[in-house]
Amino acid sequence: MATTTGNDTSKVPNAFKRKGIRVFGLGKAEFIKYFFGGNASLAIVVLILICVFLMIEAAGFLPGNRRGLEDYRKSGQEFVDFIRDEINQHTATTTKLSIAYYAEVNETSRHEDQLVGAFIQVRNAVQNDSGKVYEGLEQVIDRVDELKDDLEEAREEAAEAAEAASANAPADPNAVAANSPAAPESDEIKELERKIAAAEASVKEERKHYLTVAEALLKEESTWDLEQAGLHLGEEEKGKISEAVLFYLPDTEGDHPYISELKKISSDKKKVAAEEHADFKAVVDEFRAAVQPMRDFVSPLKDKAEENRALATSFLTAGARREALLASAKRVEDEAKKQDILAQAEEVNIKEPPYDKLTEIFYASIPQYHELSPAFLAASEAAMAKVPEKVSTDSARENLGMAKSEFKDLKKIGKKNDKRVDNWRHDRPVSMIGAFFSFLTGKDWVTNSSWHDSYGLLPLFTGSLLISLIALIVAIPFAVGAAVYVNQVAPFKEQSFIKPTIEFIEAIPSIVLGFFGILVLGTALRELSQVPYLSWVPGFPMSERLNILTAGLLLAFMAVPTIFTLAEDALNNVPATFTENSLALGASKIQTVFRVVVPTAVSGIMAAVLLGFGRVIGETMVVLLVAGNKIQIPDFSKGIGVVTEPAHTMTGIIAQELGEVSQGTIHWQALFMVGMVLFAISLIINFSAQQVLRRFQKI
Amino acid sequence: MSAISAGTEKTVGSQKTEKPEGAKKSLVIETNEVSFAYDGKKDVLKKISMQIFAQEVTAFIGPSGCGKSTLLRNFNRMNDLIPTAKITNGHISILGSDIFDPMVDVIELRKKVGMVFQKYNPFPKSIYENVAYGLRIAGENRKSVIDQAVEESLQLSGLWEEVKDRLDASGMGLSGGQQQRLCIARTIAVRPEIILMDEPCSALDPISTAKVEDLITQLKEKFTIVIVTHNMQQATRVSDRTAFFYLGSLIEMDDTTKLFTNPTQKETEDYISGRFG
Amino acid sequence: MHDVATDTAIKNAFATVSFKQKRKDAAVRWTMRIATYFILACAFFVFIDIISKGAPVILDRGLDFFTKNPETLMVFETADGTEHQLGYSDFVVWKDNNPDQEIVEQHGYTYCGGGILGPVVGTAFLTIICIVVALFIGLTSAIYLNEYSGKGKFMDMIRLAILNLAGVPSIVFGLFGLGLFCLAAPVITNEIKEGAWHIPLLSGYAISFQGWGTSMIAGGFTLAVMILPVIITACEESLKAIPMGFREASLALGATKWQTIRKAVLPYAFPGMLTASILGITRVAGETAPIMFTAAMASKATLPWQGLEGNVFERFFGFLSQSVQALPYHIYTVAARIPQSEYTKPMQYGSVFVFMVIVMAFAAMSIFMRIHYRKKLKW
Repeated sequence: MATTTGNDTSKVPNAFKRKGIRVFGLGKAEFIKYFFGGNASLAIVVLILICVFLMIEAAGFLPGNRRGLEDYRKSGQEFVDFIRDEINQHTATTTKLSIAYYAEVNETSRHEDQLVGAFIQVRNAVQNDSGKVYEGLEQVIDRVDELKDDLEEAREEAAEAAEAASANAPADPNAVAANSPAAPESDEIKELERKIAAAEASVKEERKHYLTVAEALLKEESTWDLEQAGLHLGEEEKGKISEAVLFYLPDTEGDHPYISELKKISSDKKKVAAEEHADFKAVVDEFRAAVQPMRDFVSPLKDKAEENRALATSFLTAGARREALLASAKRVEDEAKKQDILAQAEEVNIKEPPYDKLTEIFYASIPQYHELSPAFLAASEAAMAKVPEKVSTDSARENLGMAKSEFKDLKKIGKKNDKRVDNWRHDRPVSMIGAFFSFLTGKDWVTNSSWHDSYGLLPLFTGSLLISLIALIVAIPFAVGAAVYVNQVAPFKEQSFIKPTIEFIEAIPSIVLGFFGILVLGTALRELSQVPYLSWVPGFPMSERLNILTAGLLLAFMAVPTIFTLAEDALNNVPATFTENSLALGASKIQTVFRVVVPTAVSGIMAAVLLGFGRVIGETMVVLLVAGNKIQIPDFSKGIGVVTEPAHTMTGIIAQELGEVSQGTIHWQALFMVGMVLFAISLIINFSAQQVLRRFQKI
Repeated sequence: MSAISAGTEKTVGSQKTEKPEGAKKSLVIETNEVSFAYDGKKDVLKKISMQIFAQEVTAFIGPSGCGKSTLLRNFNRMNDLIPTAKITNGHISILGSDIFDPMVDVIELRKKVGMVFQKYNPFPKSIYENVAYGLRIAGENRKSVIDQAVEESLQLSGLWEEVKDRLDASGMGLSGGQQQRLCIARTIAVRPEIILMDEPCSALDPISTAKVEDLITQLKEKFTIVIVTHNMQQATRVSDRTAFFYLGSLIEMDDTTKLFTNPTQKETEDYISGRFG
Repeated sequence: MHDVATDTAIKNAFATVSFKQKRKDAAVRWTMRIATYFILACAFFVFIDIISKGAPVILDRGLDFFTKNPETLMVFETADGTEHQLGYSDFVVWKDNNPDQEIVEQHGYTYCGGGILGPVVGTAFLTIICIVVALFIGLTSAIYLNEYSGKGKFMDMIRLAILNLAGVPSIVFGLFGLGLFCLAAPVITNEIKEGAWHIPLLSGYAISFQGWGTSMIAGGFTLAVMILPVIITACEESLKAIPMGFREASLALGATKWQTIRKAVLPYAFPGMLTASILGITRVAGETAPIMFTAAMASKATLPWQGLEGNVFERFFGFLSQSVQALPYHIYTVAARIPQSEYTKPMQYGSVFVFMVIVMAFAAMSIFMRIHYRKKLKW
């Protein structure tokens, strides 16, 4: 700022005096400046607006969720769910036990079952691949049947007519004698018979046609691409299966001898095995039976709780309903109708349900619970102890292991319930923080349920996180490797071709990749997972085509350009003198790269990875299409194999559900809450990336 | 600073006040104990007082970083581009007006005080449009006026003969020396009183340098020229008076011949005899 | 002769000694190279798959694919056993023309017949609105950041906001757009929604904050907000590339700041800005999540300019305030929201192919232009 105003110049007019109009002390230049500045600060405004509007739309969620949780508690549903937890956990254990049992029993007849399976598969393949031919055969056969039905009908009609005729003219025995042979043979019937003959001929022809096509198909390799892992068909078996396949036509009844033989052998073997494993079966049944008293115990409680909840829900809207009725009554002209509506309004019960009374039944049931539950657990324990230690198949072993760990959890729940049930109070208020934490850490995202809607972020968050982690684990080596290669090692020509190509990849719209995932990658991965000698890979073979792994791989492909570009920038910013010094000391190029350049750029690369993470966790379309959309915390007991489970994500749930819920409902608000969480995550990631980068710039 | 940093209104015409005829040695620039700091704290110019007269070439010499360019850029307030920079003491008056007075419109100031930069910087436009630029932004739209001004300026800068038949060619297609003379033509087209030259020849080869130096001596008939140079020979060749700067202070200012033959200060003597810098 | 032969056997003093290091270097080099080319190979595979399955669809359906709206695909069989596949409108015509043909079997596949005219047009309009809005705000912001701003807390805040905005997931922008543009943006209307906050104007009209509804303009603005950081950064970069000398020279000639920007900076930043906008188009055209709730709908019989009524203003606002089909949303619909069968595939691959060709053409253009101008513009 000029510190001196003119001394001698104060009298003389300044030669460079400002001209022009000024408004509020601002000239045109200032206006322009503030206009630009205003636009620039839009970035801040938008960020704030995002916060504000997410909050506005999500505003009612916490009170709403709290209300829901309180109703859940007041109605006794919470109490019932304590006990149902126990029962459900028991069911899960039973399922595993039962799978193990059947694995044992079926083991002896596995070969036969597989053969039958193979046969069914081949037959379906042949029938599908022959396309029109099989369908054509089906149609002509149907037509023959139709015609035969028609013929039957026609004959019956004729017979009736004949009867009627004979009734009319019983007196004339000659006439009867003359008519009786002719009557069934009317023109219509003749025509039908002719048609049937023709149709049957064409059936014969079609059958022949189909058989030639089918035979040809059976000779092709691809028909025998079987899904049964570990099954190898010998020539003889193939021949027999082919024979059986050809045997099955649309009008075939019963099984081909080979197949029925297989089935018989299988069932015989199973019978034997079942006898052999009768003990096991008894144990499973015993275990299963242990829960019955608990079920009987909880069933009336559950009904009562449901009833209570209905009252609570009705109470929730009672005020509004009454208001609405009163308002509409005002608008109605007709006096009678008006009275009618007013009466309806009066009927609306706006008194809070007497929860103390309604929940007495739960408190009263506590002693019974304390009797039943230990007995139930003891019975289960006893059954569990009898489970055979030695089993012959891998599947059985695995499932037994899982059953045991499930049972451990069951015991834990039992122990927890011991206290939970006693401490339960229907009128304990839920705090706002409690409502918030039940959102953040809730394990269930259940909507439109007849029991209780819960909005728990955990399954979605886990899904998002797992998918992103896989994407990063896959993407980092490729992206960083490529960045180092292009920036440090590759000749100029290669650089100038690879860099634009990778930028090009960044421009592939996510919906296109999602589509590719559904149609190509998902199927390809699943087929790959079914290759027998890859079965050692955890999670293989995959049961679902769309799962965490598929989504993760696609997202990795999306993250590569982001990480590549930023990492390449970071490498580029490493001063050339570092490299020169290292080379001058006699280090090789690769040594220089990994000992000098990459360590210098490491925080820049880390920032790149963080930003890649941000991009991946915020990606919507790919996960919506490819992640499988199953709202459940993936089953971590599978170890790394968890990645082959389907999952749902935070971004996906918003995209999927927001279009279908009405504005202002708690579900709508919950989705905006998820949006807020996403927003917060993205800010945190960005912020940490900037912190990391700042450190980088200090070097 | 911001309140006066940007210009205000579109300026009205490019009327040029007539120079007082024959008023030799009339005072054009006067600085009074001027101190200046880029960051507003640490002075890089220390209490500089000097006088610069009309129709003379004044050269600023000194080792790099001595503040000569900084002072030059203060004469037309190009330092306004640096937000934190400010005059911390004293004042500069040009043509009798304090140029840091809040009333001052820098646009008006810069029309009177033109500048030629170290690195020639014609716009990527035609030669004609380069020279016409200053007139056009001053609101001059009459083609005849612009045509005439362009021709005059190019003639003054000695470029006319070389480019007259390709005025539509890009200014960036000329050689370095021609580009710099084009920049000079562009500057004199707006008829400033004073032309500031910030090492105008440092990016040029010797032949082009000679041409530009010739041009400078011709131009001093019409303009007051202040030139910053690294090259002492150049200072002796083109300037009438020379100011020697050292570490932000004005050490000595005198007639060029006197300063180079008979300096009064030891630093000056050391510098011109090549003992440092 | 012998001597020469033996001489060559003497090792050069600088010949390789450590073959182990050499081999290690080569191994590392090749590992990285393979990683790099693996990425390219994946991209190549995606492209080939989509082109090989998509291009035949275009050839097969011909011009119809670009001049018709999506409609239900009717697959039916006549008594003589031939199978027909026709879009619903063609199906109706066919039935009129062949009254004697008996249709034996008939299935409908929604959205799989006809063409993709509506979605392409919708995407084009969304993109145009978005780019116009984003370029206006983005360019002015960039000018402020690069030409006017100094340093300071406020500038840091703006830059931080831009950086953070760039990282916000697109679906969150969708939510934001829904909340702000669809449900709360101001409109001038005489039909004020119940409960909407409004400022009364003349003759029953009011500025009512009732939102623009699911509309083209809401979608365009949402997308614009989303790509704002991209546009600002790209514009700023193109402004930074203009040498300081231009500005100094212009200012020294007595130009005002604004004159300098307009005459000595913006004209030369134009290629950069063009690149920015094309880059913006690439980003925007490919986005699905932000328009899912703000603008897009799966089926619509008319094109945006059809069926408008009233005077010019009403038509214009009617045009902007209707929902549109959009290509990415159309792909989402046919890929994930309808039952899959072999009859749905042509529409899927055809749409994806066209979509990818459009987006990739813009992407290639922006990449090419950037490289080109970076090479050419060296002042």
